[in-house]
Amino acid sequence: MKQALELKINGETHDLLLTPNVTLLEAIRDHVGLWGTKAGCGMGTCGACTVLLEEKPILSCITLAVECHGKEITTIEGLSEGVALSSLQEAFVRAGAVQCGYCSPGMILSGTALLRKNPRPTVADIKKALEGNLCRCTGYNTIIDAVLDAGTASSPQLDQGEKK
Amino acid sequence: MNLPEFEYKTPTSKKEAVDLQSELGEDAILSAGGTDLIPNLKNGTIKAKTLISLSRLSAEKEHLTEDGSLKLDALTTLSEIAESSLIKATAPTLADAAFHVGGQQIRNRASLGGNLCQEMRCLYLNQSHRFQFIEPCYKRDGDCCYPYPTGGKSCRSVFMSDIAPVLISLGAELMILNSTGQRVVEIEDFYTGDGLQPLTLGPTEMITAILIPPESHRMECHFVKATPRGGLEFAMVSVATALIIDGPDKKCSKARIVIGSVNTRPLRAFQAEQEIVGHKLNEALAVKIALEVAREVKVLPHHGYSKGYLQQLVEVHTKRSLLALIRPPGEKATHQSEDKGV
Repeated sequence: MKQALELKINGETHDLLLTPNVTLLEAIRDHVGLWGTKAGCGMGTCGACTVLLEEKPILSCITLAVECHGKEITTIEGLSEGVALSSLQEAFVRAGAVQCGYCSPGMILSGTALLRKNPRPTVADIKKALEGNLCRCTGYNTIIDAVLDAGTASSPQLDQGEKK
Repeated sequence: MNLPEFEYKTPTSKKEAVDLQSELGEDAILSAGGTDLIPNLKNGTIKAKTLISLSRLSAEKEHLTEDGSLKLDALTTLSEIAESSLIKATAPTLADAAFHVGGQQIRNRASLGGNLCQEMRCLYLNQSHRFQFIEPCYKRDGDCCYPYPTGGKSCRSVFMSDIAPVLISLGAELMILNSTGQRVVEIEDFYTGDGLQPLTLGPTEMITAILIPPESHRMECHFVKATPRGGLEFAMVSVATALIIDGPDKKCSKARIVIGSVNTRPLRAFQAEQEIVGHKLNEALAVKIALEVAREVKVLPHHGYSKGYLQQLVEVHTKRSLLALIRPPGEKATHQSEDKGV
């Protein structure tokens, strides 16, 4: 039976009517139409579908949409303002941390959550925070460089308060 | 991969959840974080007509009870456990083990109780069965076992919780709620060792809390998780050690050595434990005990790792774990800090 639910995605409220077996990933991509969140393994392994649920990174492919009713969700589209990228996104561009780009939304969201909690992470902190995101092209080094770069640069956009 | 259809219930208390479960019978399943359940529903390893979601319930904050036990709500997430200052101070190996489960996205959702009740794993079981392995295995109500074709009618999958070995090493107890009341069971008796029916948890019961006895605060503990990549992985072998070292002569009065991820349940090395008790642990004894543990513990080859290799891992990591316990304070590196540079 379909259930009415309200998803607050990137500050915007979406009213949806979904069956309970719809995952948050399917709701975001197929019902809301935000395609920045990627569908990878679908089994909670690769991290491509990472979104922030109440500021914490989670895997949207193994989270039911109905369980997110009324909660704040941030997807990759919520980090930039129009064409103005967040400082971590800019750092990704500068470091060349994007090749095919499929893992990038998840990587950037996991990295953003790390930088909000710990604005000056070490390489070890970054590796631990990104362990749940798999990348098949870059070899990870440029991604780690990008997060380090965004961490050492002043990053007001990553500041939770100012972003909202 | 799409999720099959199911009914969805959202009880507002634990009592209501178990009542619902006993009303609906075995077709209903409890879901806390869903990080283990949802993939298993997707690949068909677990089937359920109704999903009883515990998402509306909030976890009680971890605290020390009157008798000094550390009480943890089963719905506490693994992130909360890994970051809790109380748990880091009173049961550091538990925080350490929680920190090493999955990735941060998993830890933010996964619950402690869910981790203890997680589905068994084997190379054949945890994947889609739509396009391969035409005949289902014993675990899926079939008539064969792919990894052990001649092993008799039993499931030889592996129980891969990182938390369970640590809780066994600390002597924890589980509080289990059913519709008629509450019972307390030692975590060691919670696991049956039968791959087909790995838990003594009834189909209409749930774990509500975990109690870690005050005795464990006196223990010297260590946890190691051996993985090939160093993150987002199930263990090849995990080792949890806990010793009580007493008196001026620093003799060991109690010892628990638990090996996880190598069999259908976490295994204790009872004989090896007895050989430490009454002695002062030193390097020579640690080497001897580690060899004893590797001989005693029955290892099932899993996920492509051979029996010999896993036995060697058990020996090496037990030795390292025991040696970490006798390092002078200050030098004591936790597992957490050791592999930060991986």
